[in-house]
Amino acid sequence: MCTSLRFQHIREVLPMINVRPRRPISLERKTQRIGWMFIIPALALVVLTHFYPMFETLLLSLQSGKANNLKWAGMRNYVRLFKDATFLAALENTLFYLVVQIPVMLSLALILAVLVNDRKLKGRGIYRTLIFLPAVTSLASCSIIFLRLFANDGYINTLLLNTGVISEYIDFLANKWSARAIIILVMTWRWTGTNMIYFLSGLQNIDDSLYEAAAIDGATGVQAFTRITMPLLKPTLLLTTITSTTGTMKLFDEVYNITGGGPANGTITLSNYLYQLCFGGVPQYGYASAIAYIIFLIAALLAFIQMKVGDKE
Amino acid sequence: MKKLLSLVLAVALLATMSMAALAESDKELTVWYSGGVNGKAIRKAAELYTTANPDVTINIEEVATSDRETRLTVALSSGDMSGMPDVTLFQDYSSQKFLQFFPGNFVELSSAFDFSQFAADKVGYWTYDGGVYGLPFDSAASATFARLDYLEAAGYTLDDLKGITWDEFIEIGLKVKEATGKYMLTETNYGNLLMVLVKSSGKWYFNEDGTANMINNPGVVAAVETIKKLHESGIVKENSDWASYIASLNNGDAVCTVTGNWILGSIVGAQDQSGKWGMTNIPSMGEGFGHYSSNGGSSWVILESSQKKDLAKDFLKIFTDDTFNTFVINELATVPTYLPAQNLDCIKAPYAFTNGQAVFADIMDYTAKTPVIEYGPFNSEVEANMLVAVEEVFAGKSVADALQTAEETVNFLIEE
Repeated sequence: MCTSLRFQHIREVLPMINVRPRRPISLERKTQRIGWMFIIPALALVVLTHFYPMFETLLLSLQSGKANNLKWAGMRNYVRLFKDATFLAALENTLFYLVVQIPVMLSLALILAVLVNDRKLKGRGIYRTLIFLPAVTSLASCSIIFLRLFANDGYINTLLLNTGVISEYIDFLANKWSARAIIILVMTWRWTGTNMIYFLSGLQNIDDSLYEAAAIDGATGVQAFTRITMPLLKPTLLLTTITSTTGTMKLFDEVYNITGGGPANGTITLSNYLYQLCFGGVPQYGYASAIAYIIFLIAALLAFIQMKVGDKE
Repeated sequence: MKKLLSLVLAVALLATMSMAALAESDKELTVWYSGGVNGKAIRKAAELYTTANPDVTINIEEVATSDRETRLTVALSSGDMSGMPDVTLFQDYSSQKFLQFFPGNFVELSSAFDFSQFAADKVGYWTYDGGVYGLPFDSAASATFARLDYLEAAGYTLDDLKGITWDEFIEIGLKVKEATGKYMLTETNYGNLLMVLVKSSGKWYFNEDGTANMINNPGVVAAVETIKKLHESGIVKENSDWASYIASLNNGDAVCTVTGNWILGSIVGAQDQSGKWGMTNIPSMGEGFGHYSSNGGSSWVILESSQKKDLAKDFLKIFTDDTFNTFVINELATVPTYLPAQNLDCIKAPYAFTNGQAVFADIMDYTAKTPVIEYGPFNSEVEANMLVAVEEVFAGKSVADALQTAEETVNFLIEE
């Protein structure tokens, strides 16, 4: 931004002093080249560590066989996926988490962001820190914490048993719906804070004078929220939706550590199944790579739709 | 200043790298193990071996069971064996998967050991294409471990649990729960028990052609039906994870556990319960099914990528050493599968923790009676889908339907 402004300025000034720039394009090219040189190391790393493996995975997904005995198989892996009951269960679960968890988490994050953005709120720094704190916990650790909470001899069962609410422990993880609820709970606990910070930074970019003007015009708090806050937060909302979507598509740790995919594949995710195919039994790298591409395609498709719907400009 | 700093750092980095490369001498072995009893055993083995051979260094690294296999799978698939150990502990359960799908990566051991001196059940896991690739370590023979004081409180003795059926076990369990309020059995997700029960039928999950056989396999059907009965009886404490399972044994919540005898190593962790435990054989699933089985257990393997195979073989001979095996039995309550160990005095000696019962001799006896079966490489696929079947049965699906799905899913994964 700065450099291009400066060059515009130079080009405006140069004709006035009647000196033709010798090779103005080459000067621009030169700065471009410098710019590229700054980018190249990072770009090279991205290509090497992201795009190259993605390309190799694509090749791998077109081969089938066990361990290292791979043969070219064309689209066979992709066709096979739709006959695989475990894959379909994992797809259903992943989409379930996507549809249920993301709206819950983002609404919660938005409400919390608006609350802690209130200037009149005392100790809002403490609230912000506390809400953000789970985000610095490792996924495995918070999974283990929630497992200990909901285990048969865990905190919740002990509490209910000791207060006489129940006489026999409740096996939360043996029921598909309560197991899913626990997964959603741990995801929400872990990620709401991160999204709240995004919303908070979005909120702080909204000029206070807009709210003052609205207040003078007699707008209620709800009106100010729906007419000013929401439209201006749209880019942030889009960003959080896309990052949450890709995050959920890759969901692994929580399920792996809490339910192991059970009961009866009721919580297993695509990433869990992919891992199981590579390291659980006899490795099927080709087939697992096809799942990796399905995850990629769904995430890309959802991000594309969200961008079309969310950001008309 | 910054330049100087980076130079110093670069030199330091190079120095440590070259030192690390130099440090790996030809008298140094790296061994992977997992925690608990195995860790104490390998530490003792290293101590004994390095005392006798002071020029040898043995680096023992703790790597959790699943991580060990994951890391090894990655290394074997990529062909980059750097960072892999010379010797590693290996689950017997995964042996055929690695032997059949990554052949040529494990050292054949029958030139160094006489495998007729080891339990046949264990050697069976590691036999492939005429060779033996693992040195059997602990016995995995299954047993019923029971709290004598709880049984007594309900008017039973250990003999009442010997040679019974699971139906009788449940009957006794209900009375014991009524009398003491304790759960008769403690389990995790029934994964271990499933293995114990199926193997006690003398037949594993596969047909001769390698395809899965569940729905028409009497042992598998009986196993799932037994587990269903146990689940519905209310006598089982179903723990959410392994830590809770061990806790339920140590804190007195449960009367019995039916699993590999290696669990004794964890039971003796609660020394205040000394004298209160007894051991007997496992209940049978009924007519035609046995009282002997095995589950879990590990063996030692040498990787072909090792530069020090002869040293590694020599080190593994410590597992046939009397001093070592006496330590393992007395201190770790673990029974070796090296058969001549049955002549050791400590095997026949009364064991205080089990109220004087000479459990180690009994375990040796169970080990000899364990059916020897063909495992095949697809045990993890079977286990994952059998657990799904069991959980579906708990949720109301019929045993036949659940096993039908499990068989189809496993065959789908095998056929590829």
